[in-house]
Amino acid sequence: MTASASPTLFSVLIIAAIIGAAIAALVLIGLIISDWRGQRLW
Amino acid sequence: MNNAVLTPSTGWLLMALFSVAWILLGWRLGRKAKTLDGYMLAGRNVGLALGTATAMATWVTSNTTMAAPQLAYQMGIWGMVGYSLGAMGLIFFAPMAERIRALMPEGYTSGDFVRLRYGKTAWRVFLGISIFYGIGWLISMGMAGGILLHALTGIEYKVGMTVILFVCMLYTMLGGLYAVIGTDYIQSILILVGIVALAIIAFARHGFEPVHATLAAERPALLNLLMPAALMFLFNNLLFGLGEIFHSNVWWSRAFAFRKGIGLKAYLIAGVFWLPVPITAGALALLAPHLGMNVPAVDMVGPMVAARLLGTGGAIVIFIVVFSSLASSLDSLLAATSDLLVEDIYRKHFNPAASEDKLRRASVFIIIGLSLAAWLICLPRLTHLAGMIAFTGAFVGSTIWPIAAGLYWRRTNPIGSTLGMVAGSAIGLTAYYVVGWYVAALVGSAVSMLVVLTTTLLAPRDFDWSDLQESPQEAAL
Repeated sequence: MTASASPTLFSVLIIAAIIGAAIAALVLIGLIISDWRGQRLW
Repeated sequence: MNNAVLTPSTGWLLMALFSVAWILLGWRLGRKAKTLDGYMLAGRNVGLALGTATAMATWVTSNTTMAAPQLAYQMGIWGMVGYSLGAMGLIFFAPMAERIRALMPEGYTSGDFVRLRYGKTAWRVFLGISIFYGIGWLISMGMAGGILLHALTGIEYKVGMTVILFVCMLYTMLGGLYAVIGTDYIQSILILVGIVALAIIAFARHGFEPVHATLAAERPALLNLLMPAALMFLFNNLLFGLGEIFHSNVWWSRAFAFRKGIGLKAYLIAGVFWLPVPITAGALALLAPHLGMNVPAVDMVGPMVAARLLGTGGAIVIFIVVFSSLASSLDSLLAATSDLLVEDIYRKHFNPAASEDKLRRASVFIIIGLSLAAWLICLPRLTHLAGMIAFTGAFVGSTIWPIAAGLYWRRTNPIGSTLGMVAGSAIGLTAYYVVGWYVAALVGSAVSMLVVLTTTLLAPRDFDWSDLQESPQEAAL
């Protein structure tokens, strides 16, 4: 039994993952700046 | 055949640069660790940014960045999606981390919880499983370090393995959990930026539709959404991840280290942030057929695609990603396993009256001893030992129910929990040999669940949650 991923599903999955990982990096940078300013790092 | 994507001299330069950076950072952060709580648990006051980054980076092992492309190349879309479900371990642990911190504000290790919750027999069984698993993971990471550095740069296995173990040992020893968490933050940013940059450049150059068209024509199985082997892998990976995170002191020590109110948010965000990592890294491998590449070693498909697309620049990015993934897991394992050995073995079994200074010195010696032991075992490159991490699935699977039920179910039977771990491990291990590697975690957790539920329903035991709040004075008795 097979069910092949369409070109749309294929590209949506990978684009979503790339955007997700990019957002993760940006949020982590934002969080460290916010914690550093608020002296909440440690 | 040497498929190295970088020259040894470039490898040495990069390795020296990052090694010096991690060691200096570890030394600098180590100056904050003035007490035992500081050294072992980063002062129990870690904030959201560092908490999220350390949970995410530690779960991104070299397996994530190297095996995800391999799985995508072998199992297609479900291979990388299945791998990404490992994130569920972090997500499910999020409420548990908050509860652990609330129930045990003075706790040190996962062993403390099992001892106070279930008694000494369960504690010793749990320690056996946990220390065996921690050391097994350490060895498999040490070996992976040597093998990957050799594969990427041509640097000899023994040399690469020695350098990565020594560097991680040095900065963990200098700065304790402060150093581990501080370096984890930078490593998590490097990993995320590296894989995002590679994936954007790769698909911007070649487009999604042409890559899909090549796969549909040449490797249609990789686009199959109903590949049975991939679906089975997905399920086993999910359970293995749950068992690993629920029991391991790597994750418990962070729950104790995070500031009150941070655990839930940090683990939840880390899980969501981890989810796209294996898919982004894995997608690179799906370009190999489109690029007409011959891949002689499937475990090298990620770096090979990166080097083919971007030349030396791409190979350097993948080296930084892999080196960061290795270090972020090795340092955490060294710190968490040494905490378990110091607190649960040295202090609780041999020297209950040990002063803070003595315990801190013991931590340093144990980190050195653990690294040395791992180095000696890794030296002969017995690659079948790296595979032993697969059969530990039976052991870690057997701890899921005793831990989860123990944290949330007041009436959980302690003897049933001990039996659950023993029977789950034994029968899970038998299933590993009789049926296959992919059922070890599944059988281990199912048997343990059955035993814990049956014994608790038949013979419930009462428990006072306040018994988990052990003061440092009581702990020393």
